Amino acid sequence: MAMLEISNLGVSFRTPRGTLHAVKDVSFSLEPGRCLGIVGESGSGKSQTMLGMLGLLPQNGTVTGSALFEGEELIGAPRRRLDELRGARMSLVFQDSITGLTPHMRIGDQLAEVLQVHKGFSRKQALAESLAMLEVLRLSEPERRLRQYPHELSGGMRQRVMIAMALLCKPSLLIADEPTTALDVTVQATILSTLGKLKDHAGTAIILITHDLSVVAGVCDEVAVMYGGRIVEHAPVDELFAAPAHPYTKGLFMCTPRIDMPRGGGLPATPGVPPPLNAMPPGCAFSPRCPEADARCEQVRPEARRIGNRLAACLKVPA
Amino acid sequence: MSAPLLSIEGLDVRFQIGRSLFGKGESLQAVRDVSLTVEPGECVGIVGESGCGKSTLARAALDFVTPAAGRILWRGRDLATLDAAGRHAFRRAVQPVFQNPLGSLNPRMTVGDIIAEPLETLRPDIPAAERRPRAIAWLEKMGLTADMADRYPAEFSGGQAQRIAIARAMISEPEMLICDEAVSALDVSVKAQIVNLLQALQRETGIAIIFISHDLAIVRQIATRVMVMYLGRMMEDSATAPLFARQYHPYTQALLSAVPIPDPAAERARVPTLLRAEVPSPLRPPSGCVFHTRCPAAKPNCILEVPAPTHPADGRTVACHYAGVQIRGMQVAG
Repeated sequence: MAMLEISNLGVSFRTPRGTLHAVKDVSFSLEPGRCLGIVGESGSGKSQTMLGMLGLLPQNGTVTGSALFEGEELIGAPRRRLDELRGARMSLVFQDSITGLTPHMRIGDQLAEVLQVHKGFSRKQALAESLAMLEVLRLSEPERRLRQYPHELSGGMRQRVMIAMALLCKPSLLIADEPTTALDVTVQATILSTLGKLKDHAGTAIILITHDLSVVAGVCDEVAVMYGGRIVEHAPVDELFAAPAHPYTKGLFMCTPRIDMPRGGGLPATPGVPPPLNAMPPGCAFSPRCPEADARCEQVRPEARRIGNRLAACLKVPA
Repeated sequence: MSAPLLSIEGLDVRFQIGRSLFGKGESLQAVRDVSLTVEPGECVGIVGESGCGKSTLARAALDFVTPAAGRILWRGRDLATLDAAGRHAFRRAVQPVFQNPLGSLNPRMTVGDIIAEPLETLRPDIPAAERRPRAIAWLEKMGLTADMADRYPAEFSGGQAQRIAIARAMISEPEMLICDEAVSALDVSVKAQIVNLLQALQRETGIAIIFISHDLAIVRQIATRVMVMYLGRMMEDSATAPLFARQYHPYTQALLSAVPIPDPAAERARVPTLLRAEVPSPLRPPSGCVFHTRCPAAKPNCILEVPAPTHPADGRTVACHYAGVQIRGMQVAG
């Protein structure tokens, strides 16, 4: 059985202007030691899928469907149970590291607290373990960092502290939401290489949420591409990059610049922007921007179909 | 030979940090001895990590900060000695585009008024009645529609707002745009649209661009020349294609090797040079070559002597005692 099995997950929000469906009918599973990349642009539902699964939606949010983590249903689980699981067996890293750390607590105390609460370590044991984790993440002068406050660290150092915190309890699942987006490339390289090692040596399963196909290429084993709240294509990483099937995925690849080979004649950008959640087209959400769409695409919503190792939700993709 | 459009010579910019009743505080040298020339129609990319001084350099080129030393020449004339008329002409000729378009557009003005506003001060020669038609013409040139002129910035997406910001920058018909992380906050497909738009503008109007970005793949796409900065100093300056083919400065090598490639096979083959330690504080930059604390190829003289810029190849400037040394495989743990 898979470590994580998501079936027909939906997330919606009640707003004064009616109910908005941010995530619709998302299903995937993940095995230990595997890394799934979830790629999409702003508003595609990639973050809300994870927040819904973890019970972290705001008051006006509702999640439906099923999320089995190590055989245990997360959707509708009591809050106390989710609190126990989060931080211990599944951990989260967000993009914004300054709001993730308490400003008036020393880094060492914040890190040690995680182990004291979840694992019952003594403070001394917990600090020693925290120090070791900062060394793994290549933070300079780790002893000094433990005594410092968050504002004394640079953004890249803070993000590595957040990742250290997420890894302290050796979780079986790490969910990283744009963990390197705000960082310089040199720091990003360190963090991505750490994630790779974690997956290979510790058997941690990783869900990496990003808008950057380059980040996915190096770390992930498989990739799910989201658009308009749904997964439009899901494939092993090599197959997806070798031959993207969905027109949206193709468009994403074409407009992503490569440092190793510039594109003559500019970036072929997909025109337009994703549709707003309150004005989704009746058929395929991508049809208004799709170069291959016809009248049927505008009316009929494509179901995800299995083609070899890949799933694609597009009427135009041949079986 | 006629003077270049913009010429920066030996620029120093300092900021005073923590000045109070009790003391002068500390001096932060954000830019140190940087020289750069921009010719008409060129697109010069400025790259480097956060805190390297690239935005401060842009602000100095816009005459937003006063240099502590060095000169900035616009068409051969020193900005510091320009008279009122010369300064006015400079303001019209050089226009900025910033990262966060929604933050740089007045939320209480309609888009039409926002775009037309610079004409009031920068182009008094254009009659008031002509301002709105010009604004609408620019709106349409940016791929937006005339009816959007009566709407407010909050109604627009980030990509549309950036198009509005570019229209506002372009309406005075400048000769140079300074884009500071102008596409960094945008989604991939929208980012590509804006890059294409800037390139089309360059083709049509011959405008010069200084394109500041931490995204090296985008810079490779748009820039004709690239300057790499680290801790306020120029490390390497070269035409784009030769720079990406071969880097003479160890820092440029490390920086480029860290950029991921959207191709799993290329990613498996890529070995990033992981630099040791952190970027030092710009308040206390290292002696000698500022990169020596992290450089795998550093030797004792790098600690002592600031490397003078050399020209190891055509059209390339490198500030390294060992310009051309290859650091691949030299990475140091810790």
